[in-house]
Amino acid sequence: MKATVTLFDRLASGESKAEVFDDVSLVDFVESQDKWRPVLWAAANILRLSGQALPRYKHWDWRTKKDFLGRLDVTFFGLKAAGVLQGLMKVDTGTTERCRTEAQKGQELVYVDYVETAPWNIQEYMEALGRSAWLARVGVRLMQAAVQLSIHNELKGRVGLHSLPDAEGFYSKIGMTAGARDPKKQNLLWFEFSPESAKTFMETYL
Amino acid sequence: MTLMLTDKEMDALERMSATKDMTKAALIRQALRLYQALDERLSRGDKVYVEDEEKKEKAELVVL
Repeated sequence: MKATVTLFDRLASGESKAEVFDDVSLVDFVESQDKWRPVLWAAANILRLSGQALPRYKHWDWRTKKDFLGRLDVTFFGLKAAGVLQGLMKVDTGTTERCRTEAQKGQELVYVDYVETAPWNIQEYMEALGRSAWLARVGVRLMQAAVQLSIHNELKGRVGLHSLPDAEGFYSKIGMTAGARDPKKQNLLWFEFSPESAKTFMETYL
Repeated sequence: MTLMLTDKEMDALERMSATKDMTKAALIRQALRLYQALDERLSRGDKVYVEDEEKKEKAELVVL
């Protein structure tokens, strides 16, 4: 699967084309480690010195997920713009998780296990480094790929995830319904799309 | 590809397809995803358990 999507280039103040793909490989994991981590760690150091909250995912290493490549119950999505990897996402399509909100409790969904945007697209981190963030909507386009996968698997757009604290605002903003905090997952807050909220999300962010 | 199923298998497929509001093809694809995931764990020597959270009972899942 390859799809052309539109992002917003904050530096050029205009639209920018990007490609979402699902044939992610170890090369992409290595690129995220080599290019994203140094920038994220540099921003984290500055945030730490000024007493601000650090990105909870700064220790992530996508290379450790290489054994999931090629599995049918796991799909990886990547997003590239200007020849550079801008985002990665791991989606579980087995039944590791089910819907939790009352309206659709127990129904099957696709579960977003990990999603990450390149640090140079995150305003907070770039501000810490005295730079401007580059691309907006990388996370939106990856979440839309998860919804499309759910629709393809006939799960009608139902998608769920556990959100890191600093991403809760994003998932609320795109219309996901918050559930309860999960003591089995570091007390992270549960979010899910219903078929209706997924449809609204897809139509809102064209 | 033609898939030959016994009456019993077809009954189960039709029932699950109705319950889950999915086509038979989607259901079979989902079954394959799960089977591969389980088989991979078991082939590595892992054990797969199902747990009754209320009774705190665990049972090993054995796949042939």
